[in-house]
Amino acid sequence: MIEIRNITKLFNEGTVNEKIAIDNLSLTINDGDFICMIGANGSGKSTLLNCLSGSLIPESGNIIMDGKDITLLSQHDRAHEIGHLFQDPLAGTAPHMTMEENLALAAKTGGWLARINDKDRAYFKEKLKKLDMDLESKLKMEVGVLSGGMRQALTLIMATINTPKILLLDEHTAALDPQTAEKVLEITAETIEEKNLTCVMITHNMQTAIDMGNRLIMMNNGKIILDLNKEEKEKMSVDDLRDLFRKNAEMELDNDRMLLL
Amino acid sequence: MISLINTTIELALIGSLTVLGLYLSYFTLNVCDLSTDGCFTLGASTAAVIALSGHPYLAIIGAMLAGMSSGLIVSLLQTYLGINSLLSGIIVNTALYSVNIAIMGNSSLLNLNKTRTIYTIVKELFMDTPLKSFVPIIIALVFTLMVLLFLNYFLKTRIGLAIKATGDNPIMVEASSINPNITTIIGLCISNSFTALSGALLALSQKSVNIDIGSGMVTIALASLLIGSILYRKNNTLVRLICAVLGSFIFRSIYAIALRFNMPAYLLKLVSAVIVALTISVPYIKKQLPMFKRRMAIARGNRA
Repeated sequence: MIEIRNITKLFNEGTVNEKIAIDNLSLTINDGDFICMIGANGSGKSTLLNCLSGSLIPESGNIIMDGKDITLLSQHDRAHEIGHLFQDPLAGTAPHMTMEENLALAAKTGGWLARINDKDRAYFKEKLKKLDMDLESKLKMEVGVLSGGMRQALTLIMATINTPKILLLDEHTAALDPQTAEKVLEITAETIEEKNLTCVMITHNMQTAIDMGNRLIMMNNGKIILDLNKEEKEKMSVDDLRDLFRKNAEMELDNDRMLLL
Repeated sequence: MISLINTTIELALIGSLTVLGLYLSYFTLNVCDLSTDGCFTLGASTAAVIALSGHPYLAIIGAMLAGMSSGLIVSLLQTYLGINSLLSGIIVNTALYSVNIAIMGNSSLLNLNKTRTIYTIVKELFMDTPLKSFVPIIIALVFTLMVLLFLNYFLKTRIGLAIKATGDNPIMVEASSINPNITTIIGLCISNSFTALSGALLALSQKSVNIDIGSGMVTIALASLLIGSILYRKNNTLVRLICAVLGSFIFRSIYAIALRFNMPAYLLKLVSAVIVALTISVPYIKKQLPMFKRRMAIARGNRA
């Protein structure tokens, strides 16, 4: 279980450009939760995931993972419990290293002086076979020659090869063509179900947000403005969500207008 | 002529140790380590001073440890103190000038004419054999092979892969729960220990050290490394390492030939600078050429 308690994250603190990216936000993520997160650009979704992964440290508040306070833990120190996929399919893999070398770094089998052996290769092949992308025959190929979709699928395998406590997906299919995106989403859903992973996924596709996962969260201005469970979410249509979205955006405008007047 | 070939082979082998060091820092870790010159001299002066005090074997180990500590400082500056990697190399290089003179006892020149070193020891071993005149080459060859085989093994271990990934995609390294600062530190310590070893062997072989022994080494080694990188197409670590050593041979041969044609020795550094500039820029120019040709064709068409 992950508890986020009253975290606040500021950008450009103390300057005229100061922006409250996360505003006193609290959220409890239960084991096995698959949360779909939606919200406009700049609403703080990515910042929230980055606070969880440790690439950003919130100015105040705490993040507790299984009873342990990880708020100030550096990224590499918590990385073995957190898988993180980004929108950029090139971010998660080393392009000039072969696929087996990338996988070996993620799998962490053996000690620091261990080398890749045939047992590792068999294990990697078995994992890659599930993707059904013929990647298992390309173990010795440099990752840089793979397509974006292949690289994102590989990153997903790398992030989940040792079951993480939480998987963070930051619009990880947004840069892929519709068909590949669908395929990667399918693999994502299968992997999450198979390992019963806890997952937070950011998406801009309302239909995906309704169809996938057991919880739906909408963010606006660094706050969670909607948190639906499975039943509530199933009653929602894309239009309902869009209306809610718009209403919030308009409220925003009204507030601004009030400030100007 | 024979002695020229002998010297060329020996210098190529000794130089290839620095080249292999740079293979680790420049190619693998993607850090251009500009402290190489100072570190080369550091290895030379440390080895000379320890040999002078009567410890021929410790001279080699001591030089490598000195190189390692120099690498440690360069890497600490760029990881935990936020100094740009080029700048931290230059800073340490500058500091090493003073350090090296201090090591040599406030002198810029040391003479090892009557000192017992691994060279004199091995020469005694081969006293009555025909191999006697090849001792410097044999010693350099043994060290080159050891470093080459070590790197070939090390770069395939998990820590070696982590160092490779640090130079390739630091974001991915952090996500694999590896601290990129640590991999940078380990990589630069190892690479600088080889640079210092290279300097130590040159000093012990030529039986003298002066404060300028390492000046220009970074350019010479880079030139060798880049010449070597033209030779391979495949992504095979052993092939790449061997090509780095071959690059050192090619560079030294070009230099030897130039000397035969009465090129003054002081031009070595100009030649190496030109080679580095050419080997880096030629692939870039090649890539730009088709575009340039098209633009020219259009320009010509407009005029007509």
